[in-house]
Amino acid sequence: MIEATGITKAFTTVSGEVRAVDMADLSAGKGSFTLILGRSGSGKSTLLAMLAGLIRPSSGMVRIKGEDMGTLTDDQMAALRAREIGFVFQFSGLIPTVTALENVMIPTLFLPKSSGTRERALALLSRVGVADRADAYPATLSSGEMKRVAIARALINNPSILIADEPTGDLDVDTEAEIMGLFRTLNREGITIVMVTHNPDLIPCASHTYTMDRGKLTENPDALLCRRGITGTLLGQDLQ
Amino acid sequence: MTSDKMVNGIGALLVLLGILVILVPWVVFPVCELHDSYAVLQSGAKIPMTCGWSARAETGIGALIALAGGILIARSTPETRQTVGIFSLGLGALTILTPTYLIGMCKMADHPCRVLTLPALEILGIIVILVGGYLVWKRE
Amino acid sequence: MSRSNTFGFFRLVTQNLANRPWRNLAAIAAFAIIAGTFFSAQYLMNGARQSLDTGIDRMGADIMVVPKEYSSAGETVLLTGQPTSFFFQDSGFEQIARVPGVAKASPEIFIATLYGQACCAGPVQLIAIDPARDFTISSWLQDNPGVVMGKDDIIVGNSIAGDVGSNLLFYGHTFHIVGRLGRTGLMGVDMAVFTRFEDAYTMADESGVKAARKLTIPPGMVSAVLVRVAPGTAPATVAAEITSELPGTKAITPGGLLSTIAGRLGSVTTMLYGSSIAVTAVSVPLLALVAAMVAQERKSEIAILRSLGATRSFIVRLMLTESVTLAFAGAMAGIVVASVILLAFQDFIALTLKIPFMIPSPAYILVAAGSSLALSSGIGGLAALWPAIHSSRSEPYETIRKGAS
Repeated sequence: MIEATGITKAFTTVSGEVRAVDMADLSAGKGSFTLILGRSGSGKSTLLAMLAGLIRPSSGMVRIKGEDMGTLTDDQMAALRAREIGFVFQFSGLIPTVTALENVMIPTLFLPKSSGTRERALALLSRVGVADRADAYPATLSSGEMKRVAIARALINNPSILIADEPTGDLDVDTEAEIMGLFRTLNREGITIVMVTHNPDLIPCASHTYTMDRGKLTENPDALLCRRGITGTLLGQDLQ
Repeated sequence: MTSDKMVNGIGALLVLLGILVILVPWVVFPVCELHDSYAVLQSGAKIPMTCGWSARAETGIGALIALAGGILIARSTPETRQTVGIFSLGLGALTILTPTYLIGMCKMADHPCRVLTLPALEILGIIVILVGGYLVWKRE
Repeated sequence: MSRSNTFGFFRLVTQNLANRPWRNLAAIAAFAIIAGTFFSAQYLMNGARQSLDTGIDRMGADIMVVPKEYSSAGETVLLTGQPTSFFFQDSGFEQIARVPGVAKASPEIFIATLYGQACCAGPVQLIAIDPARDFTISSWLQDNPGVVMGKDDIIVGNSIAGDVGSNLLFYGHTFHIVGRLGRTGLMGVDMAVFTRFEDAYTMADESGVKAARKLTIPPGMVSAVLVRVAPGTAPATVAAEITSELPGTKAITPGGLLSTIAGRLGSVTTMLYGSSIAVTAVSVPLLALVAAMVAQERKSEIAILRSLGATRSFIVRLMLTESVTLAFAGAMAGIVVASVILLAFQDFIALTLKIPFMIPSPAYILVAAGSSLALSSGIGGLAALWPAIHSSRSEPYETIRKGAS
């Protein structure tokens, strides 16, 4: 589904070139649940942005469903994102001037008109558990509610891929568990998920895990534990 | 539902409009007697002309419009809004009809009461009618 | 019941605008002033021109010949209705009628008078006509066959108070109103009272006894000669011929009157167009600055939209639509307010500026409103263009990351 080969993102600063991501390789097959772990500032969000086509790598290649993102224009990438990728931001990223329901419907503006949008949006809000807040504006929603609305929004165009940047970052433990349960359900339904987190307790059967450290991405062999059905954390590593 | 803030705003607007209806014929665009023009009777006595009587009537109408606005601010229930709205419709119509048909203004085409006072009152009357209509329409 | 029944592009636009009411009100006010002043200038110019055309048409005359020393009085009579009395030393009426290109010539006597209500007296121009040669009132009489102009009968202009069938008193002589002309906006016609030559002479003769002041009309003299030119003949040519044959005269033509009006209106329309230009010149950079500020504030929101799949052209379209919507709303408000003021106070405007005035035709008003709307919308689009393009080019994720931290 998503393949990144040798991708690098370099920024020029006063002290010289800084590589936020350095020669990263990642492969997320159809139906996989990929978790990327790392401290804050390790470059995982930048990596995610490159996978979603939000920024272009300085070098390397990203393929989404076999299509080389490097050959696409900005508008073509935007169209691809609208069709194939649902993105959940680190903060909820809701548009403050429209209601929760309207926020969910926003991505439909970027695709050719289809009917039943409102009903689909209501159904998604119901699925994420906030149907009763459909007419509320984001300013009146709790963090958890905003996150749920953001997830519903990411799903409105029936994407094949869901990319989530720290989706449970500022949530309480119970809400976090609910959100992760939702992600697992979506994954079981066939959606490919790539998620970034700094919390190792969230490796409940992700099919692949990677670790990001100072721009370097390494696949975590302990993921094999999950594939064998064993829930675990990264051994011997303190990621707090 | 119309918010309380908005209703208070409408009430304040009615009070302002009422004050303007009072002030326009006496201060803003004064009628003929304030330009020292009176009707002179055969006995030699001076009496106000038609426009003067209209101005006096408008003083009363303006006071009622301001009162309606005050009532709306003081007590804003759906029933009050609707009643104030209906009365505003009537008072706005009176504001226009008084200087045009009921009492009238001077007949001379170039008198200040006709070229300035009358159109100003007509505009104010229309605004009062629109405000009244809005209150009746937005009952809740 | 969700209020989001129909969510689309325009709902996003209106919701974004509703989020910044005070700033948007200021922009709306600017656009209202631009459109309102531009509309007003066109409205005034056209209203004056239309009134002049209608009034001159009503008079039926292509040229009005007056004594040279009274040419400005003659123009004033027509344009403002300010009454005057003057006479040709040598009327030359017969000579004028013989000038090549003159189809009809009608002599008129102007008499300045007052007429009163119990309160006050207002100026009125009494115009005595020769019914046998007149073509001003006769065409109106033809259109109103029930009206006959007999002894002491008068036909009044539209602005004269007094119902048909009632009496008016001039110089102590009682006249009877038998007809009222339609409004032309041309004061010289609207504030005029038309009577017959013989009734005017009778009034003058009796004025020594009946009136406060004696009126003298020199026998055989007239104040002006109205001329209708032959079809296909240019009034200006005939006018030049008349003044060359009668050197002591001035031939007033509609074109000449229009220049006079344009001169009087000139200062007002210059002020209005000038205001429009000045406000535009100041507003465009200010609005562009505000648009840039708003774009900067909304960087995060724009980045989110881009991340969700919005193309650059969508972002540009969104921001331009917001700006043009504001401009349109402001222009509408400005045009409506200007229209109400111009309509309500048209008499005051005409009297103050001493110009003829009538409400322009609906077609012209639509054109004036349309051009004012187009101007404002264009300015709105122009002001927001660069900020919109610039915003659409920013990298989405950098902005989101900065917004998140």
